[in-house]
Amino acid sequence: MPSLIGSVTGKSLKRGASMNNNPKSNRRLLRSLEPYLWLTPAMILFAVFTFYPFLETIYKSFFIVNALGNLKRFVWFENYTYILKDKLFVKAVVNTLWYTVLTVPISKVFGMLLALLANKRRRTSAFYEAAFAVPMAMASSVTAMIFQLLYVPSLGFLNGFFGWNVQWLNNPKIAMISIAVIQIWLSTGYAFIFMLSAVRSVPHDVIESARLDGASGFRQLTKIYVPLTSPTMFYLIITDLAFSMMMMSLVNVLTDGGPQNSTITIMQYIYKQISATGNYTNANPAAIIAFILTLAASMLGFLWEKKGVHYQ
Amino acid sequence: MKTKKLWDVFVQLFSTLLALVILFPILYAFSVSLMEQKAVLAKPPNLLPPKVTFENYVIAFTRTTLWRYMLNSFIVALICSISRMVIATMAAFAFSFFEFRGKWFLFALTLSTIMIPPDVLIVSNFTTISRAGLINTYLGVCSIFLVSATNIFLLRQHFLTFAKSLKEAAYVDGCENIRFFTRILLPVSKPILTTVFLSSFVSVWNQYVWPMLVTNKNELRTIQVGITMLKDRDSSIFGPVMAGVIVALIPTVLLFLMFQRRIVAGMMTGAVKE
Repeated sequence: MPSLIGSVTGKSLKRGASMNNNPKSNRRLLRSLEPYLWLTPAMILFAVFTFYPFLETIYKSFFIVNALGNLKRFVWFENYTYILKDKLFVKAVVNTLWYTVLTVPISKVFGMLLALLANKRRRTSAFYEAAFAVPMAMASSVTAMIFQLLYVPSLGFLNGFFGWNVQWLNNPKIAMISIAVIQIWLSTGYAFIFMLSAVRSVPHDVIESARLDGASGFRQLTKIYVPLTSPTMFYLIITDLAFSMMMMSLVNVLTDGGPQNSTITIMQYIYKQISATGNYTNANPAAIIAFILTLAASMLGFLWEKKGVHYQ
Repeated sequence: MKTKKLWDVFVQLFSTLLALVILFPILYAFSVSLMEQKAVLAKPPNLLPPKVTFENYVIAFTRTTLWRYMLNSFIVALICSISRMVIATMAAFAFSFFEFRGKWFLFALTLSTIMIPPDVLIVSNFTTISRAGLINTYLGVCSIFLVSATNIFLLRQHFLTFAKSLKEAAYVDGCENIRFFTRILLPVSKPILTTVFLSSFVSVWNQYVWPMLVTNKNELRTIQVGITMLKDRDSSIFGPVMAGVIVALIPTVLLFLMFQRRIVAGMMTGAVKE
């Protein structure tokens, strides 16, 4: 192990000098094993709770599995073709994509606008910066409970205050939009705090010279702020894509996938398969499809990175 | 100059107003938690409680197991944050101060776990946990949150900024690895360790899906799961639930407000390409 010597030799030589050969080579062995020992707890946990389940899910997705999770029969891709023909699963995929399209771009645009608004430090900025960011510390289940109250159809605050008569969570056409509103509220704060630091790191002289050239506010936005903050925006979109594709908590608390399955998501579908019927045969391929979709979405993101993201 | 000042005042007023709009759901929940039952769903709706009462908090704490949910969440979040901090520090120590065979492979393996969303794995992990008989145990709830690759990455980046010379100097003084780790590296890394701890605490405290899946006994539910069970979907008794909501969000929101910079710094590593 030649690589070890750099930092360790001095020590082992000092020790070795006073001992005979055998303990010295034992010590050597221990030394070369040492980095692995430091890594052991992390690697064991990754193996047990990430790599093993990942491979197991792929493997099991090719089998008929009974309610106890035992393999019954190898069926190749039959499980996949089965759930892809399952109307409920297709609905779940479409809903999840719709939800992603609703939440990811809007929360990022809001985050950017808030960041531009708060860009310059002013006397009261500590207050509103904190307020813009606070939703990111909120749990989705707690937030769901608050919005459930705001969304009560007959006497709830939103309908009562504005004199509307919207069936927020009971109308199949708008239930998913109502859920998306909650998520937009939750993730705008996160986008804001990232965009704020990105916007603030745009060099002053760039802005100043653009201003002297008579660039309008809008031109400064499109020609300077948007390109120079695009790496952060890219990161936000990639992470949020993965996150939205896995959404289930809001739906689970508020609608349980209803009305008329208009809010069922892929994760909700998986959860229902195992919790209601113990149907692992459908749950495993569904999880893999969810993973592939997430990966595909990230790939699209990376494609966009090549074109639109400017690293300095 | 004067118009500029006026503009400044205007922007601040506007921002403050916007801040109140964004905070509205939280403020409203707080207001409702202080209302009597008949004032909650009234016509026209009440923004502020017509008569302030603490009844809802009393109900939430005496007639439900809210305190138990809170205790469970504290235990789970504490175990996970400590575990994440300790395990990530150890792994980052190996990745930044040692040269060994397979180092890059293991590091790539670590980072690859970030690409796999934990939700995809819950079916299989659920089977593992139930086979191990860990349903309805703290260990079962904690299991999948005990390590985080982002924390390892964050700490490694931080450790790499220490010159290797720090370690070499320690060796010249005859300092063992263990002693170097506990006596030198940990003390100088206190700020970043706080970051790891706080951001883990907030994120684990807010978990919902996994804790719901692996607990079905009321006494073992965490607050995020318990809060949704304080009332069924069609009931309209919101007062005590909002009291519970406020109690549940106080720890993380308070931590966030107090340590905003720290927590945000922890989340931002990796966000900007080097």
